[in-house]
Formats: sequence, structure tokens, C-alpha cells
Amino acid sequence: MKPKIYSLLAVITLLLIAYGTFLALGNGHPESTVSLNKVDASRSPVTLEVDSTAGFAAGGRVVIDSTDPDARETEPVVAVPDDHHITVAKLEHTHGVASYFSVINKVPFSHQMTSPAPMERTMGDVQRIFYYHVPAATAAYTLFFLNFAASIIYLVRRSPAADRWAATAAEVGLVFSTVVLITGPIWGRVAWNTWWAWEPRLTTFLILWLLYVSYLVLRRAAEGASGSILAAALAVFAFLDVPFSYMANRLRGHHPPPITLEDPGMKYALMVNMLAFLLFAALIAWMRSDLERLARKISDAHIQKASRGAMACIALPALFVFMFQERQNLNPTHFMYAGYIAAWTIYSLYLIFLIAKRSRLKKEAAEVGI
Amino acid sequence: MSESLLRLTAANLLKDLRLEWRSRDVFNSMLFFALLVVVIFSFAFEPTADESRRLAGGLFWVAFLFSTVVALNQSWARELRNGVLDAYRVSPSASEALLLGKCLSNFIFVGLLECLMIPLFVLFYNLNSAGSLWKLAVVLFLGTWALVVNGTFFAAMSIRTRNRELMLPLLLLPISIPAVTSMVAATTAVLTGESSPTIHIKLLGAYCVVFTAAGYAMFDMVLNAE
Amino acid sequence: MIRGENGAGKSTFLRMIAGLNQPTSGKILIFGVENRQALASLGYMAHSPLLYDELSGMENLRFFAQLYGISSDEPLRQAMQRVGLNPGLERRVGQYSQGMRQRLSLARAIFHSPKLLLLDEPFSNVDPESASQIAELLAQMRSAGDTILLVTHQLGLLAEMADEFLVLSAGELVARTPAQQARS
Repeated sequence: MKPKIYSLLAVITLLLIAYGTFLALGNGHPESTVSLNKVDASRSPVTLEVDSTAGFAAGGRVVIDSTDPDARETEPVVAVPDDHHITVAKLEHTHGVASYFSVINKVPFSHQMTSPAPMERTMGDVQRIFYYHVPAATAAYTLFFLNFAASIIYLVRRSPAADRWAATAAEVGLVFSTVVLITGPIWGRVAWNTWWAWEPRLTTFLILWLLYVSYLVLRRAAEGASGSILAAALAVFAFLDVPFSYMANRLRGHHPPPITLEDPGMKYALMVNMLAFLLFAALIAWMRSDLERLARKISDAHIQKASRGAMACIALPALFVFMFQERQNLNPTHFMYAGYIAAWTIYSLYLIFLIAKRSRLKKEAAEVGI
Repeated sequence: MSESLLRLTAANLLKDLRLEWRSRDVFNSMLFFALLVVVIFSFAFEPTADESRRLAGGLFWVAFLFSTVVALNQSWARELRNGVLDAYRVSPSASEALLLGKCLSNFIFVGLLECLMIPLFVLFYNLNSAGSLWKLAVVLFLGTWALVVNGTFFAAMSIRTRNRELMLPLLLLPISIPAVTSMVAATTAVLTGESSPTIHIKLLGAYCVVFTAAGYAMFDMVLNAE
Repeated sequence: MIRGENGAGKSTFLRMIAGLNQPTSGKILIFGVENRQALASLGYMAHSPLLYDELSGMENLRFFAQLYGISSDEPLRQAMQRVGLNPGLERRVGQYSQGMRQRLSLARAIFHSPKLLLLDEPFSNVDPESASQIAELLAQMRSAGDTILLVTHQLGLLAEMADEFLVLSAGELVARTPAQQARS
């Protein structure tokens, strides 16, 4: 029963990741545009002057944005006369009084599902790193929270399963946060024009990463029941540390603007990838936890060095750093690929580590006779 | 806090002070270490008076963070010699008193060290503060407590691991980053007088309260984790 | 009296009773209550002396007395006299001889008149004279009604007064014999 669910989940996850990566990497149209002119509310068809009409067609619907959230509206497109004009059936509100406004193509859901996410207007392809970066961050946060919850349960009930889950969640979470910490700067190099900014979220993540490396080091240095208790106590401290590190860094006062995704195609691609990587994280965590159980069954086997793998992972993408650093005109597409390759390097190294550990444990288990 | 806990804490504190007075192994090594850090920093940077106001906050706290690590390892090492910690654990007294007593004694040692080192800092870095001195005293008080309370807890944790001396900095430094950030920001704000340190002091105060409570709540578990 | 070879788990057994090590499964009851609740009626003497080298004998005892809520010096002085040490000794424990340390360690374990005394190798590194003195003291305590659990691999001194012999091997209790039977 269990291996069946296991392989079913694995197949679903891989398909979702493939689909998500297709949505993220493919070259979709930019399906939003901007208009600089003021237009008044009207009952009859209105023609808007826009930057580009690529992707827009008569019969579709567009979202006409506004700084005032109440004035945001969705209208049918009657005609697209030329490359710079779109005619809509009517307008409920006046738009573009203070500044420009966006016109976003509201594509049918079926179209969204089959076509890749559009290119972001200002950042270009490098924005696509987001489809890997954000899900990895979510997975890491979830796993670290799981680590905290399992540690609390362990401290209260002293159940070995909770301890095993705490150890697993910390290690897998560390892998995902390594992906976050490497893809982040690759994106930042193009978007912020610097590899690293002492931005609160980024810095908090770095501190979190350090905390969980120290957590795994502690688990290696103290074995058995006492090690589990110490590790659980450290997990509680680490959890308490997060709000403080966020606040402390916010007060230091660097705020590169956060990115919000408006385009429904982008949102959809992010959603698919989010689901895919959360499943991926669950799958890896499950695998890791099974291995951990096997390892503990064989002996009081200690947790392997996850940090060593993570360190090695940093070295690889660092090559890209040297490749790109001196260029004057940064090519966003190259950075996008660098981000994807870095993410997959880390994931596959960890998977190889897991598979190697698995075959070693299987051998040991056979020797012991479990 | 019950009366007996206070009395026990006082007993622990007095015992630590007496032991330190007779051996002086913590204080001497800590003092020399901090001195070395200050001298090496001033060789490495040679700051002018203006720069040094900006740098001093960071240098000062980094120096004390490292000296604290040296001191804390020593302060638990003496509980392990002859296995005295076991005698404590088989007694019916509250183990929290041990933590509080040690925090207080370490606070006194590091505080004393700071009092000795501040004149040196002023001398080497040509310091004069643009902000008010009592605010600096508040920052010093809270910052030292933040370092010491976590340090004492994690030192108790690291003596239970295989490579004791090495573990303490590995555990303590990541946890202390937010506290160090606040201390440095507050100290620099007072020294340069360019911004208000109040918000940093508040954050530091909250950090002290939260981590003192967490250490207090979990110490018994860590001490008896065997 | 508990016997067994090196590594048989004798010390761990005592440490578990004292609440220093957690048993893998099950609970330990002392006089009907869980061991962590019965610490006040328990005296423990380990391999190492469990004393501060930098303090004198009385200072050591005074500190530990506070942990048991005892504030008067009287029981401490008595304990020191019973183990044959001079309470007025100014010397720090670091300068004590091995035998004196062992005696002071015993004083530390008995000053609060425990009902159950756990002793781990009380005669290792002790000169014969101290050893016989300690043995005599233990015999007195036994006849006063206190329970004494003693771990040793030297039988000689106490074989006469033991009520029961437990033999441990590789973590298992292999024999439990009343004293008369063992002697005969």
C-alpha cells in the first residue's frame, strides 16, 4: 500500500514540476500594457491608446487598472484597430488622472493553463527565477515551522517520531533555504543591480539558514536522547529568534521594493510551481524520514552532514558569479538560467545524497538482518 | 519568584564569585582576550575620531561577544570538574537557580570587564560621545544581559555535547545576531547622535525578556538531558 | 551490595536511581514515590568527589546544604566529624589527599541524613585506615535503619555487613542472593 502511494505521489510531483517549469520557462507574450492618456467614463465604446497590443484581440476581456482599487474594472474588447489602440465597450470610471494605468489581458483560463507565463516588463526573463525562488522559500518556512512544532511535541511527549520529524524537517528545510539564498542574489544582481542587499527578508533568511546549520551541527555533536532534547530546545530558540532578526534588520533601514505579480498568467505559473515544490518538499521529507527511521533502527546512527552538501552547493553557482560579474549589460535570460541551474544543482545533489544514504542503509540493514 | 529560589540564586552567585575570586581563571583570560581584540582592531583600522564614532559600536560589541564566549566556556567547565554538576542535580533544589546565579555572576564579570575596557576604547579610538551617556549605560546594561543570558544557556547546552568548547560559538553566534544588530545600532546612534536609539533599545529589551524567559523555562530540561 | 565486572552497568544503575540518567523504559520508585520527587531523602556519592577544589571542606558543605534548605552549620559539623575530618580545616579541597576527599565526599552525601544512600566505589584509592573507618560508619548507618546501595568490586571490607548481593552483567541482573547464602 505505502510504496504505491509513494510512487504515485512521486509521479504526480514530477509531472507538476515539469508542467510548472514549462509555464515558468516558456516565452509567453507580455499580456499587459500601459496607457499614458486620461480617459473619461463613458457608456459608449472608448478607444484607449496603449504601448502595445501584442496578445490582445477583439472578443477578449481586459482588466483596466487604476490607483484607486474601487475604480478597477473588467471590460470586453470590441476591436483592436492598430498596434497602439484598443477599443472597449464602455468605461465605468475615469482612468489615468494622476498617472499612467495598466491594461491587462484577461485571458480565458484554458489559455492560461496551456501557455507559459508572460515576460515581466521591467525585469525581463530574470523575474522567472521567482517561480522557483518563492515556492522554495515557502517550503523552507513550512519545514522550519514543522521543525518547531515537532520539537515542541517532542519536549512535551518525548515521542521518537516527533524527534525524527524535527531532524528531517530541519535538514530538508536547509536544502530549500539554500536554494532560496542562491537564487535570490542571482535575481537581485539584475533587479537591484547588486548581489546582496541587507534587506530584512533576505537577511532574516540568512540568519535562519545559519541557525539551522548550527542545529544540524548540534545534532551531530550530541547523540541519543540527550541530543534530541538539546536540539529541540535549540529549535525553540531559533523560532523565537526569527521575529527579532526581522525587526532588527528592518530598523537598519534598507527597503528594496517587494515584487507583486499582477498578471494572471504569472500568478497561475507561480501557483502551479508552489504546489509542485510543496509536494516535492513533502516527498523528500517523507523519504528522508523513512531513511531516518531505518538508520535509527540499525543503530543509534547519527544524522549525516547535510551542511557539507549545502556548502558544496554554494561553490557551483559561485562559478556563475565570476562569469557574469564584469559585464556592463547584464543579460536577464542568462541570469534566469543561472538561477534554474543553481536550484536544480542543489536539489539533485541532495537527492543523490539521499539515494546514496539509502543504498548504504539498505546494505547495513541487510547485514544486521532487519 | 519564590523566596527559596531567590535564596538559592544568591547562594549560587556567591559561590561563583568566591570561586572566581580564588582562581581568577575566567576573568584573567577574558580581560586579556578583550584587550587583544581592541589592540588588533585599532592596528587593523587606524580610525580617525569621526570614523571611530561610527566603528566603535561594532568593534566594542564584537570584542565583548568573543570575550563572553571565552568566559562562558570557563564558567561551566568548573562545574564539570570533579563532576560537581551531578551533586547539584541529585539535590532537590530548583535547577533554575543555577542558571540565574550563573547569569548574574557572568553578568558581573562581563560588566566589570566593560568598565575596565571602556577607558581603553576612549583612549585608542579618540572617542567622545555626541549623545547622552545614560542612554549608553542602558544600552550597555541590556546588551550585556542579552549576551550573557543566551551565552550561559547555550554554554550549558554545549557542555553536554562532544566537542564542548567548539560548540558554544557555533550555537551562540547565530542566535545572537539580532541582539548584536540592535546593540550596535543603538550604540552607534548614541555615539554619533544622528538618530534616536530608543527603538533599538526597546527591541533589545524585548529580546532580553523573551530569551530570559525561554532559557528559564527550558533550563531544567537541558540540564537533565542525559 | 551490587557487584559486577567493569562495564556491567553498575554505575549507570546507581545514576539512574539518583535520577542522573533516564531509564530507556519504565519508572524508578523510591519508597513509593518517583525518584525525581524523592531527591531530598537520597544521598549520592560518585566515583569523582563532586566537590569544588577552590573551596574548603566546610564551605563546600555549606553550599550544598543550601541546596537542601539547611542553613545551620550543626549537621555539617557532625557529618564531618562522623567521617573523621576536622570541621575547622581551612585547607582547600584541591590540597586534600585522596582519602580525605573521599571522606568529605561521603560527608557531603550524608549531612542531610538521607534514608537511601547510593555509594559508587567508596573504597577506591582510599588508604586502608580510612576505608575501615568508612566501613564502620556505614555499618552504624545500616543498623540505624537507613538503606544503603553500594557498588564495588572489592568484596573484603563490607561482605560481613551486607544483607543482599546483586550481581550485574552486561546490563542485566544475573543473581540476587541473600547474604547468609552467599557467605556459605
